[in-house]
Amino acid sequence: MRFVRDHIIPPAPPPRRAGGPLAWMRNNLFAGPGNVVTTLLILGALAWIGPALARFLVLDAVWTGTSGDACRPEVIGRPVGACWAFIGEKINYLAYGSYPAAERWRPNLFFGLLALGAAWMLWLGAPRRDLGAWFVFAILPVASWLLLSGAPALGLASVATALWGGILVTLVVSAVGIVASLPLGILLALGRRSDLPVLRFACIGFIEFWRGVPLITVLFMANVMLPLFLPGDVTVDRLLRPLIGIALFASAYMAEVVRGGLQAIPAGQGQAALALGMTRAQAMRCVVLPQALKVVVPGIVNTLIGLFKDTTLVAIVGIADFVRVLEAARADPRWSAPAIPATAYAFAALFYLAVCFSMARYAGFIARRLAAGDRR
Amino acid sequence: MTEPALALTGVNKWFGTTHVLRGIDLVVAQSETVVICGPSGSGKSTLIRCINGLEPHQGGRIRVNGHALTDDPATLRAVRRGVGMVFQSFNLFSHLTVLENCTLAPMHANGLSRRAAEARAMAELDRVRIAEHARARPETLSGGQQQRAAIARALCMDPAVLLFDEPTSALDPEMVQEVLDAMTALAETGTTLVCVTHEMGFARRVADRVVFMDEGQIVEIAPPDAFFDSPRHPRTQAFLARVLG
Repeated sequence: MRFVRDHIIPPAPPPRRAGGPLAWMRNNLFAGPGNVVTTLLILGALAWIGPALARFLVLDAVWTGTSGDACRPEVIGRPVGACWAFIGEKINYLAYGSYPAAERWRPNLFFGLLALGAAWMLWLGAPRRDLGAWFVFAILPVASWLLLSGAPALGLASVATALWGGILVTLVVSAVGIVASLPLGILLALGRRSDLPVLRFACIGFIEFWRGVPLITVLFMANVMLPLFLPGDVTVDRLLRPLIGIALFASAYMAEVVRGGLQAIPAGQGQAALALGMTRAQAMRCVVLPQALKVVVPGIVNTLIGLFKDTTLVAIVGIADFVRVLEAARADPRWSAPAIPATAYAFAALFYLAVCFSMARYAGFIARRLAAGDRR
Repeated sequence: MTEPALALTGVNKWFGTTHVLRGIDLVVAQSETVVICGPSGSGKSTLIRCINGLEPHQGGRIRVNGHALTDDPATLRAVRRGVGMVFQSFNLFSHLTVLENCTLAPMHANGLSRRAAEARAMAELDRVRIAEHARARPETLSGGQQQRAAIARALCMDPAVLLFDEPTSALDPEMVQEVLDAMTALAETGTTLVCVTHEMGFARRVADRVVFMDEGQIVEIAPPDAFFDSPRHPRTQAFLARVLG
């Protein structure tokens, strides 16, 4: 039998979706026994944690006061949650450590420059992002160092790094780690894929060494052993030592992330560039690397989040980072109250959470944006 | 007599211990269109990848437009600038628009200004009739459009020779013709083409000579009418019997 269609069926509107919040709940929250149990368990956990958290952070919190007494339940006659008055009084110390009060505009300017650089790089539609890269990877490090440590020639009084502390140090260490590890990591990843055996093995050795050593060991080595290798009259600043250690440590991880991206790009991309008469360096810079870095944005941000949190370890070698000044602040006898330690750690947790969560959200945004661009 | 576009003399190549090209001798004249065919694994793709140095060869000599192909990076680049290549899988740069694909190499390898490179690119895109997609990303185009964009990208370097490595094998059947049409137009304007393809109709209509390869060697070279109507070598006859059915 032969069939020939005698009329073409026109498109019809799609079936109406079952709407309304009730239908949504039935489909998404209570679709089956397993689903119901999971939903109830999670709602129960939230009902248990949520109010306690709200009481501690907001409802029972103490917002004003001049000493630990303001945060003692027996003094003020009510349950006490977080003692935010303590954070408020110590905020300058937490932000700048022992940086001289009269010079605090310098860290503030540094925070501003850092924010400018970050915005310039992170906002994809920003004008002149090539200039932004120069700013972040060349001008910012030099300017920040002169600004923070002082340049008598420019009329900026010297401030010893031993006085730096708090959020300032945490941001300095993280920024150095990030700004140094990205370019170093890319170079190491390229070296690891090089055709030159000496270069390749040197890079592999470097990467595997730094990946194989715990960060804490790196910091101890930087602090204790680095001076042993240098001539007696050369001293390296106490803050600079762990900075170098962290930068090299982070670049080894970054190199492996970037290498993953390089491997994900089909060989045909580079070959097409070579076949057009471009040099290997041009093919890498204009064709392979841009695509590879796009692929690994989530991996890079993941590494940076890890790096940011790992900076707390510099406290071990006597650097007054955010967590260490927090510890010092809560040891203040005037502010001794049962709520103080919990308040201090809650504040630290919120600080790290806010920064890391923003980074993760940004990575998610970039990944969605790239996925939209690369749909196939 | 003028210098031939391509002159291969006794070219040998091994992948590990496998002898994939065995004493290839082939001369391609200026403006000639040569189609290379043969069973898969016969070394056709390897041969044309040797011509622009994407694969190194281990014996024999390759001369392209009078330049001897060597390992020296500068010589390699000089040869490649004069030899366009179109790949089976297009290999358009996926992070760039079609227009940027066409201007990248002229700007970086030939030092053209952006304005000059874009003007040239638009002319070439127009020639393969996809100028209206110049600002599009490659992945938004059909396979046939992508392959035509890749042809335009190669043409932007003003190559004396164009190499095609199975340009229609990755395409849906309905898109094969538009790519073959673009190649036919190129052949008619006097560009030297060396094309590895299974499109026997194209070979018959457009080629000046057809080269049949098997097991890493050239088995038969003939003008298309003679090649298809009276193949001499038994392997050629067997191959044609298989592909023409």
